[in-house]
Amino acid sequence: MRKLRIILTWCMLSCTLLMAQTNIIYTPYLQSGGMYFSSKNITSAGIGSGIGLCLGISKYILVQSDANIYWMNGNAGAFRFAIGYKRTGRWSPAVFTNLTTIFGARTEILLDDGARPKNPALALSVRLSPLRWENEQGFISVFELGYGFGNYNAKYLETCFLSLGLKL
Amino acid sequence: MEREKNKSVLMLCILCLLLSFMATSSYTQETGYQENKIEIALGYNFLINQSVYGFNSSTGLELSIARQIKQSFKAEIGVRMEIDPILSDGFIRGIVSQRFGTWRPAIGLETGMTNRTHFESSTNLLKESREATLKDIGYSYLSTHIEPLSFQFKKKFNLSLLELDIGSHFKHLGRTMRAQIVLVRIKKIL
Amino acid sequence: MKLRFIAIVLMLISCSKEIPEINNHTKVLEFAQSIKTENLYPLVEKIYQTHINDIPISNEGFPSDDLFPSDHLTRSAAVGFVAKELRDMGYQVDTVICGNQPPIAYNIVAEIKGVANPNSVILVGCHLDAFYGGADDNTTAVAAMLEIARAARAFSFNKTIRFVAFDLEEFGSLGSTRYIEEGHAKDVSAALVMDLIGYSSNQAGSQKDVMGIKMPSVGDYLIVVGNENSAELTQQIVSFSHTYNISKPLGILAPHDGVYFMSSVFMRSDHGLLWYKGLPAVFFSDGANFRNPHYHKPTDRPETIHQDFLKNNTKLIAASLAILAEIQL
Repeated sequence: MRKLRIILTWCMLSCTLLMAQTNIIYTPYLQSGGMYFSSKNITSAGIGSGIGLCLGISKYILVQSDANIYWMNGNAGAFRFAIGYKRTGRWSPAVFTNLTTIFGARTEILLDDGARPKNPALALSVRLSPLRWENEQGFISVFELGYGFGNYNAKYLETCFLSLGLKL
Repeated sequence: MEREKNKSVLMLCILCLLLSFMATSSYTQETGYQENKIEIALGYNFLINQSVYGFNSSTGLELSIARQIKQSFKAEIGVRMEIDPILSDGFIRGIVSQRFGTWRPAIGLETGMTNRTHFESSTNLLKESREATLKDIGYSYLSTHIEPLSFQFKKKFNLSLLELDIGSHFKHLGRTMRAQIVLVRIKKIL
Repeated sequence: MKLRFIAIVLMLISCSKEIPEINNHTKVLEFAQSIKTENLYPLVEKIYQTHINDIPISNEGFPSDDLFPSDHLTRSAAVGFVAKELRDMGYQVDTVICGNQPPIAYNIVAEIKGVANPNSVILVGCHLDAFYGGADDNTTAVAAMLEIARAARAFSFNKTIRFVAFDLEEFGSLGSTRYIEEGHAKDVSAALVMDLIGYSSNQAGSQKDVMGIKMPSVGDYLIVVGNENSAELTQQIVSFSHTYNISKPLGILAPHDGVYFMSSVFMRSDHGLLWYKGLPAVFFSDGANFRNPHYHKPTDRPETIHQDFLKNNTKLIAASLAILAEIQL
């Protein structure tokens, strides 16, 4: 947990430094989607929703951070930090690299000696956002798809049915 | 301990949502946009209600009234009625939407009271277990609402297809899952 | 290579809990080793025969299908058999009749009073009804429970042990649901429940994944399922088995209290409502229809049972009981 706090603190500091720049565009957003984290020791999955903040730090670079809750296998939560590259213009598809921390409810398979797998689970993934549009008010993105891997040889799938942001 | 953390996450999400709604009040008005317009809507929905021993579905109609509060923010209140048997929902929603030409995608949070959890079963298998586990589920729920295929036409009408609501009941959050698809909804601005 | 490096980094920055220690290791092991495994298979054969020779009960209100042959459920002779076996061991046996509409459930109950903490009851349960002969489902568990009950007479425990053979589990855990709802389990502080513990296979692919949860594909292990309330006990059971090489358990922890859709498959037995009520319970199974091809079929016969697997599992369940009921030195 201590190491996790260090990483999250680093992320927040990075965001704060970024926020100190004057030409950043802040876009809070809501999203609805699902995730499936499957390894030989941890299964966490569900569909649900989340809230986040997107920082447009240049014409092409986006930084996002969001918190999500998923239902179907208990109350699973996920914090996601993403850096993305997008196309400029009205139609602005993007590709993101995500670091996701998955906590909350999950099914665990104990290790051979009875120990529990480590908590939280972590996943590194690439997410494609091909149906993404921007305008003066913000952005909309539908049917995003992400794939990656995590602890204990996990496969990680994520999807976003709809993500809608309004610029501050 | 885990439950406390989950509650904190949920409260954090709701707080952030409220903050972002407050933030949207500083937006400039789009040219020609009218506040306080009233919209009525009629829709046909399909609900899946899932608990540990039950997986039930039903179809129904819904009727709602919405009011545009700010440029991109709408508050809505409505009722749903399942057709057979007759079971009802009442709900309120806060919705944030975007405009891309005629496309009007939207997302929001919904809460309400529902009676569409207690279904009669055609078989006695797991009936007593189901009744024992549904006894204290409660009527109030929370869900997110998305309108990915919502289109405005002829200025006053809106057609929305395949809206999706995903949620759970407040009491023992996560034990049940509500997934509702509004197959078609027609809205008219008054 | 890069992927493995990143995976290791990700693993290192997360954390895990210690396994709680077990008191009276040697006495727990002694109890497990006191199980007379040569008694088990003959018991399975006897109980199987009682089902085969019995008349199925009415399945009105329970339509039959392939996985649920409700017109072939027997229990009456098994009720009598289990009650007699427990009486012959010297137990005071009660028949707890549950329900006020048919089918009525007849749960067989016998107890050993605890010495230091008799008001804390540890329930050891299995269902005695079966489709067809039901060798794996569930005569293996009934045989295990009877043998554990026999061995327990020679030991003392701090807590009370209550052996319950539940009726009508195959009709949706009717016996256990009514037993709990009618208030007979108010004094239960924890439970061990067994359902199918005799089938194993060493073939790859013999174990299927369970509702999106990845399982080791060679089905040669006993599935030991707990939830957050019984996590420590589940860990202790797996750890104890690992240390003393008793059996081959696969410990699974359902999310939180286990009462969720994706984990509902782990609630498919008499412990389900106990989980719902917040009571710590551990469930033992060989995977049922996700492993055993004879599940709910006439081919569920004693010759399909793997005797060594059943013996080792019974010893492990006995050890689990000794840990939970706090066996005395």
